[in-house]
Amino acid sequence: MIDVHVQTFTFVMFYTTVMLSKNRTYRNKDNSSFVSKGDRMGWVSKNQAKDVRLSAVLTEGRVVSVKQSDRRPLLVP
Amino acid sequence: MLITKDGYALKFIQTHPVLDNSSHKKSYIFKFFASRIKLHYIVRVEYHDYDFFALKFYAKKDRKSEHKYSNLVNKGDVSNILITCAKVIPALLKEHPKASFGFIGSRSIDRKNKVEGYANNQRFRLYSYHIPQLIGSQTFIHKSYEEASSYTLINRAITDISKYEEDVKNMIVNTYEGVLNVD
Repeated sequence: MIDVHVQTFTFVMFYTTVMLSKNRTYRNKDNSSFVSKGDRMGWVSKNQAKDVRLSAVLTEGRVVSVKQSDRRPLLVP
Repeated sequence: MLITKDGYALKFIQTHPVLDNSSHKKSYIFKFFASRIKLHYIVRVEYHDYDFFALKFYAKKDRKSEHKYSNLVNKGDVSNILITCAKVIPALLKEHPKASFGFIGSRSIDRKNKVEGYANNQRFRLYSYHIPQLIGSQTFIHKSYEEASSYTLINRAITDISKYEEDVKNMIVNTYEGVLNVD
């Protein structure tokens, strides 16, 4: 008899926990005050993003000076 | 700050032939498992005319996303991932000793579909920081194009480097003209 009560109690507790966690998830999903990385960095929305042709921006490059590190072995010398 | 990570084990999977008439001849596919963040990654290296390779990678979970190269994973471990991707360079140099390599930093797209600018974007800044610490200047000339978020490694074994650079630039522009756009 006690076993049945314990089982019922466990089931009710489990069910309540699951339902509560689900509710909490839905409340978070509806939260419109979420601040994304783009918001913080001032990125624009997809339809406002400027199109760019690679030919227009791939102009003169800059030679990068590579300092030889004596602590890390290079993958290629 | 020096990179102290070693990256993960990289595994070659297969090559994909490209049957159109473009300068893109075939793609080499590699994969690795980023055990720290528990994500599989695919590295796709596109082989072009002039012995030029364009290096791309994405998290396997994003493979069906149209923005797989732009999505933010944001779990850390970027050094290990970039080191592992750079491991394809010595592997491919064995087969193509005069090969050159290039990367274009994709514009990031966040969870609210906000899009990063194309010039000097965060992926490009990471490549510019990591690559000079992994690849030396004895084999390659390192060149960065900040406005296009692009970085190239031009093989010093090439005889006329300035002509080669111009030819490769034209080829890349023809093949990847819209690569910095977000649709």
